[in-house]
Amino acid sequence: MSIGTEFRDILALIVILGSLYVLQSSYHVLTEFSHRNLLNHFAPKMQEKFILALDGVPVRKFDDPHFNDLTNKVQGTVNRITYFIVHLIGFVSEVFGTASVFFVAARIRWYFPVIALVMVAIRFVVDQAVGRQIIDSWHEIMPIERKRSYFHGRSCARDFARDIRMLQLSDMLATLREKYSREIRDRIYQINMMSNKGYYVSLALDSTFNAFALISSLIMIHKGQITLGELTMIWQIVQQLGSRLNGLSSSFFGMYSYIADLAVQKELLDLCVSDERLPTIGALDSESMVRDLPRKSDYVFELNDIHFSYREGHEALRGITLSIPRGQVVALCGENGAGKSTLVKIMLGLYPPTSGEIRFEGYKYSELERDYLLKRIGVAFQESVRYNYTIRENIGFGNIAELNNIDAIRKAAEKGGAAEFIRDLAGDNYEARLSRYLYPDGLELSGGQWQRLGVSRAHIGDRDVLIMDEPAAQLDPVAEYEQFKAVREMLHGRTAILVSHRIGFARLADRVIVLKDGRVVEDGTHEQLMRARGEYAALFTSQAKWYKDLTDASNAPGEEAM
Amino acid sequence: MTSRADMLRREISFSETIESVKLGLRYFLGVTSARDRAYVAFAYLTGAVLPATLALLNRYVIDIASRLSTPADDTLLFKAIWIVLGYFLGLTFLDFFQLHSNPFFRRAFLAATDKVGEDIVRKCCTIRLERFQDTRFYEHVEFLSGRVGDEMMQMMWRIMNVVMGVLSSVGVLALIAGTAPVICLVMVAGVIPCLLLYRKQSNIQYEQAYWELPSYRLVSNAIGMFIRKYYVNEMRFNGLGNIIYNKWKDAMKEVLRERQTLNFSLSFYNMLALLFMNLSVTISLGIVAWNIFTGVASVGVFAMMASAIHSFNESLRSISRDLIYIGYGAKYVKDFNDLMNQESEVMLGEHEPVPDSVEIEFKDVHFRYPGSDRDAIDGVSVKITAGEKVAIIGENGSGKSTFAALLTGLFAPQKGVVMFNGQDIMSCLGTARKSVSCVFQEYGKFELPVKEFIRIGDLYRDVDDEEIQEVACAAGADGFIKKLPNGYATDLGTLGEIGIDISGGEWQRLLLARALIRKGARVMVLDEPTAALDPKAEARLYSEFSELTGDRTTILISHRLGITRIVDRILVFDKGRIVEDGNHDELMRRNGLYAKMYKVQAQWYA
Repeated sequence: MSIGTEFRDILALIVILGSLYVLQSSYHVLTEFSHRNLLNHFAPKMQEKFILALDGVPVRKFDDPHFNDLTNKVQGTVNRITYFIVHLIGFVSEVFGTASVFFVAARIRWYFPVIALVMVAIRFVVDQAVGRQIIDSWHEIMPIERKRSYFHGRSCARDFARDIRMLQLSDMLATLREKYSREIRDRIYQINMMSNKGYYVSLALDSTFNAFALISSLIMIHKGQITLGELTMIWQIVQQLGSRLNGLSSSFFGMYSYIADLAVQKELLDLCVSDERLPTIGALDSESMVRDLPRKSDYVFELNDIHFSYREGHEALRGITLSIPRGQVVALCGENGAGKSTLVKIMLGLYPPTSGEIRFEGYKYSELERDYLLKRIGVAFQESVRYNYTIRENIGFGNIAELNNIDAIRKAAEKGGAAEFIRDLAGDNYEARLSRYLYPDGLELSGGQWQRLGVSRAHIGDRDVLIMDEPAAQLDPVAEYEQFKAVREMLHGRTAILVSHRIGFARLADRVIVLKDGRVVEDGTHEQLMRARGEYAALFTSQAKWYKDLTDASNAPGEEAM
Repeated sequence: MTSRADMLRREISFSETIESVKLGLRYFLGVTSARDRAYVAFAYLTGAVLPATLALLNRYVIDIASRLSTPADDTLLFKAIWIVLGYFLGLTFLDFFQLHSNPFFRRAFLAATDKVGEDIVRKCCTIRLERFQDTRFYEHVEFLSGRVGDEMMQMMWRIMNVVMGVLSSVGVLALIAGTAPVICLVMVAGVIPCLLLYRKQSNIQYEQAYWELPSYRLVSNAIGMFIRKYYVNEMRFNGLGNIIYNKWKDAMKEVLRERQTLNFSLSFYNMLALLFMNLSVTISLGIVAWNIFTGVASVGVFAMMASAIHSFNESLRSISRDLIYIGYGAKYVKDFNDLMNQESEVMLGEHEPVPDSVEIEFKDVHFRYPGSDRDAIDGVSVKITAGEKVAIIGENGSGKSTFAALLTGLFAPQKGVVMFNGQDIMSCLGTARKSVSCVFQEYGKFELPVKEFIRIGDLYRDVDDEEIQEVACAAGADGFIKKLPNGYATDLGTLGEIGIDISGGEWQRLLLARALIRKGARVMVLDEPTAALDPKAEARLYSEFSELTGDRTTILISHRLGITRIVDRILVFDKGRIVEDGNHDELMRRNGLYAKMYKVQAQWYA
């Protein structure tokens, strides 16, 4: 055999080694790629699951702090489950990797894998003990972290910007942020100290094993039991084993620490199992037709001894019994906190009463299809939502069956008093997007203009029943007047329930119902209740007195002296 | 308006990188103690010597083993055992020390990150409000605010890694150069394409972070609609779940597409870079093999060189990657620096006493929101004398709230000037802010304990609990506060143990109390302070109006025209101008817009 051919053999081996390096690199690149890929695909899937679940949560849960706490936690950890999966996959591949090293090690000396197994066992015990403590600490950090990010986030939140500047809150926010940050830092420091305990153990084990293996193989070579090549291999394997075990332990630990997040998510998903009959995703699309039901009663709403409480021992509604016949316009009055908005939510089926029974046209709510009420009732909610979407959607969201019916939307805008500013500001373009927050070309509306959109939402589709909760709170007097006029005019045989602090409008109503502390205290026409000189009369005069002695003047402006 | 292309920093010059690094270093040194720094330094130095010693050990073991494999005496074996034991003892000690110092310098890094966050909070709180109207700028700030602290510290981390990498390579490099100098050239040649590839990679990564931002914000917007209570009633009753879900899905698809593209290109460039590195390693090993084959080197040398080449290759790769990514982080730091240099509100006169009385004058003031095509305030000239009570009336969108923002110096007029006691308000903003107390229509629902919420109304002085209760009573808030689970100590919102959600009317009472606590204020600006109050509460408030406002200059924006009787003067706004100015009687006689609005409202009560 010539020298030349021998080196060619070595060269071939080197080339094979090079290809193995390439393979190893590809493995790393592929692993990274697939981790990111997993994150890209799995995180949205989890988010989707989260959204779908939330859409089925009973509305009442949103008043429950525990629930809010859970959603906050889940929102913050929704991506983490992906990390769990990544660690799980990592763990499994490490197990295989370690097993193969074990196998090779076992072929050299049977007791190598046994020693390694003992090491694994010790490590897992330590990891688990340390891990449990660390998880507890992280759980203590989470609420602090939430506070910190809350105060951090306020600094560039738009709705806080004015208050922050007027009240000079920058120091306060910065100080609060630092206070919570310091707490977090200290805890993380403690956590790192704790996890060091685990690392110390594995360090000691590793070094001992490495030294043992090396020394024993030196002895073996001295005794002629192994060759130089075998020694190199043992040494390589021992090093491999060490790094494998580290990988195994860290992926196990990673997995372990995300299990707690899974528990939180499961708790939330369990809460989300809803038996309430309300529209949820998948149950409704704009084409689906709801079956018309024959009227079983001449009363639109019949409430019988309705009780409702937000929290234990604090009843918001305390036995409400009333019936609202078809075609009646009802004004619902009362002080802040009397229960008006709660009653509205009960009528809309958003809250199930704690006790008592409610019927719509003679049907129990449990007998109705999910979106039947939506088809029949137009609503302007108290704090009408500002959707960061187009004008069309902002109105159409009041009745998604008409979402793409631009004529219906224009009509509704006209009735809600929004048409004028849409012409003025947006050049009559209903596809104009609202809010500069998300769109560079977005329109900024004033509070009153947003409210007009909210009111238009109730008018779309001209449904038989109209419920408006504080539709005029932010409207100017002319708009307010026109709005009530519009309501009055459209109400040919329609039923309406109007809630307002602008008590004067109650005169337009056929009937005034006054709530106080969750009870109906007065029920009658404006004239009857004024004569009764009760709660309603008090509310009315408290507002009317601002106009009383001047109304004569306004009737005859020219004659007013001075 | 800043366009998106301007915001994207494709390239960053060397001197800018140095500036960014200096800034990062300043933050790091600013928060760390001498002990922390010593730990960091020691940990890195020990880290630096490890690879070379390991390579040396490898060489020693193999060489000694090859001598042991031929019959040798036991002394050589014992000597070898002692050396191996000593090595592992030393190694364990160094590793132990590195582990031990780890928590310290992690804490130091976190502290620096937090300091950056704190500075961002301060900056965002004082940046000129108009800037927030610019969507792109706003999203940029929002993004940086959550990210730059980490990016800056990662940059610092990388700098340390480079230093450590260079230090640890020196030993290995010496080993390689001493054995086969040509290998050094081969490996350095291999790293050059890597540098270029990583540079490309980091540019893509930086751009993508900004590109996906608009879509990502649409995603968050949609998710928020499922989570926040604010949306839930309308979402459910109107059955919007499906529609919003689809909006989420569309936006998410957009984000995903960008992220997947990024993932592909990252992997592609990384793979290419690794190929070059593998090639140079393979060639180097070939050279070593040739040296051994030709008898220039011993077999032990191969084991040593294999280990050395590996660790040198690894160092080169991570050094080049870190070097490039220092530039990547520097871009964010530069962005952060630009943000910090944005125009802030200048609080001139903040430490001067509040003047006894305040007179305000608008001189032909024009104001237009950025991006809008018309003036929101279109030539307003008006003088409000000290102690005067003025009501501002007008249709929705007529410019009333913008007027209030100009009057408090939140916005600066593009034309004309707002005078505060005869001085341009922008030149005495500190004094002006201290002198004004206000209730705005749009307010932040700060999740603080009730007491604190009121207390932040006046941070210029000490306020005791009694005073807080006193203003709460005056604002009609005491009643509901006492019914809360922890009274004045109850946490508002959901950050605390018990979540409390109060109604609009209740918030409004708290806002009023917060405005009243600023007793030193000489001006009160009340923008629809009673919109959510019931008639009785509102009547009570207005009947006590003169007591509440005292001799302060008062500006009251309201749609309740009945209360115009309690003010001295009424300004009627229409399309950004003052169209009527006078008291109730005068304006009724004029029979203009005010009279029309008044009659419309009064008829309800006739």
